[in-house]
Amino acid sequence: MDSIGDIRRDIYGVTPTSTQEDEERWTPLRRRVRLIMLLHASETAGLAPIGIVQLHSLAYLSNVLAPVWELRPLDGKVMKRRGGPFYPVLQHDLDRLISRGLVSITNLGYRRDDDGRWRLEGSFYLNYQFADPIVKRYYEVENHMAAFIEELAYAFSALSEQDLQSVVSKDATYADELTAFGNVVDFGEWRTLNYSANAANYFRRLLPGGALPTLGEKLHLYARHLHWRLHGTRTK
Amino acid sequence: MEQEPSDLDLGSWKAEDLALTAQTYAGIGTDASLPEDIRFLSRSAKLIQERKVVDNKRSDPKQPAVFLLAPSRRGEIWKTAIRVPMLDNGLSRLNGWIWLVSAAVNSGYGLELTFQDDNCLFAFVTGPLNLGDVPTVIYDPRGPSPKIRYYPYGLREPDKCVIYPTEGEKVTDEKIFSVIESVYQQCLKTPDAQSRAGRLWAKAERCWPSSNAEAVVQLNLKAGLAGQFLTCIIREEQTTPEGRTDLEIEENDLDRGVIIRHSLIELKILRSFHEGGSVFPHSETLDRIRSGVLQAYAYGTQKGARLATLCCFDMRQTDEKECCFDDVRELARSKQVVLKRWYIYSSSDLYRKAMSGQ
Repeated sequence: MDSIGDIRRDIYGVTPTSTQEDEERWTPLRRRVRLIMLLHASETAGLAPIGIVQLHSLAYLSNVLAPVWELRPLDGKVMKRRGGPFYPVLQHDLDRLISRGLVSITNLGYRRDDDGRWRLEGSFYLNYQFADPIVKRYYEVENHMAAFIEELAYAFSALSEQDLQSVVSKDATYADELTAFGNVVDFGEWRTLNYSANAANYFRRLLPGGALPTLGEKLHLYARHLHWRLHGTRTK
Repeated sequence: MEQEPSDLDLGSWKAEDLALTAQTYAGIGTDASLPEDIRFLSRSAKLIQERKVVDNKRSDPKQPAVFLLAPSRRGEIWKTAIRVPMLDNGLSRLNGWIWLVSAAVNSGYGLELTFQDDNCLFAFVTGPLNLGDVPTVIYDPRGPSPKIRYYPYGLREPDKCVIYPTEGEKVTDEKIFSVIESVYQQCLKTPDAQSRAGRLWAKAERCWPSSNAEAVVQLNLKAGLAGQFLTCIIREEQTTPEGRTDLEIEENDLDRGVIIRHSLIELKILRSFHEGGSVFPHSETLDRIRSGVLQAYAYGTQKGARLATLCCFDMRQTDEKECCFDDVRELARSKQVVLKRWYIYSSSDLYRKAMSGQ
């Protein structure tokens, strides 16, 4: 399979640069493409139009659970806030995608956030007229990552919209009491300890009859476990 | 000195809590690698079965339940629909509702049916809903035996319908082999039958099989078996003390709360050449078959499977029929391992010639 570098060469006719230069140059593009894939997955899983808090939650989960699918998180840290994870750069990217017509917004409104700043509120969905070629290309070149994001959205689409808004507050890593609000939750930047991925992987020891869970099954079981932690009941 | 982080470190979480979750929800998400339409059909059938267990007094109305594979919702009509999370727990009444679901069928938007007549139902889905071309499952509890009707091309093509018993197809040896035969005929037999994404040949004209041919066969068989045995879970690559299994067909008996292991399938690709063109010795092929018999026996015994079988997909240059099993027939008989073989042609032309006896 082609690497992202090969594709960049093919599409943009650029030659490889130093690692640092490469990172600085392509990280924003990688972020925006990831955002498009999150919105596409939310569409596939029946979560679209997706609210802003839910979208940031899904972005966080796509980072913290990436190791379950043997992938590196796109962003291995996030500020711990009472209102749940919020990525300023993702928000900035989202605004740019809206202005370029790739993303549409509905239920528009404004809300004051935890820091007292006014923030655009709404629900978002992809405009496939423009986003379709990007989505298709992504599946061709990053099939494993695309499958992970899609399955993650499927797993968490079992929850209600309200639960998806607050589910991260129960996440094994985000809810760790050793990290206070206002501090950084680090699971892939300077630290490699990731309780969430560990918990999802731990299911390999627990299935009835000694069966081994698939990668997809681990995500679904983790989502159901968070539901139990939110409500205290397992409804089956 | 700081300790290396352990992947068993769960922080403040307890393993026994995770164990209860695993016991309750095992099996969800196992179908992630399946094609979307097959996953939708299989998950819908499991949901219907789950609901039947919950509604053990059979108090649900004798009305159809309609599932449409259409997760996104647009337009005025869906503003009145209600979203039901955790739909797959079986607690919600399904009958008398139209459900807009994703392939995972774990939540859905429900719209209550306001008519009894089937014609009106079809007209409503193809007309005002404009969803007549999406894969559709109708659970029909009316009549002496409830049925699941699957419309792969939607209700706009009502004649293209496949009917399944609600309690699931009975898993027999004959049925398993007939599904494999059907997958072979439709997806594997010749290069033209194979999908672009799942090619078995590296160079068909030279009879060089692809190095991942076994994985391609495995994925095709998994999809075929999942699409036929709707209430079963098809697991692949399960680790046992004896090694790694290829495919298992298991079923969660919801009434008795036990897992039934119907079958264990060991897959082997027989080849004359490696992917790069170097010769694959005949003696190694025979060794591979022998080890396949022993693997199928060991895994099947370890797992308590009712049927253990070795399925060989023969990609060798010449079709030597069942001769490849001559050395192991007695061994397979003594171990109760069923031997099966399918020949994969390197071109459609060769297949046509074989059919005409040339």
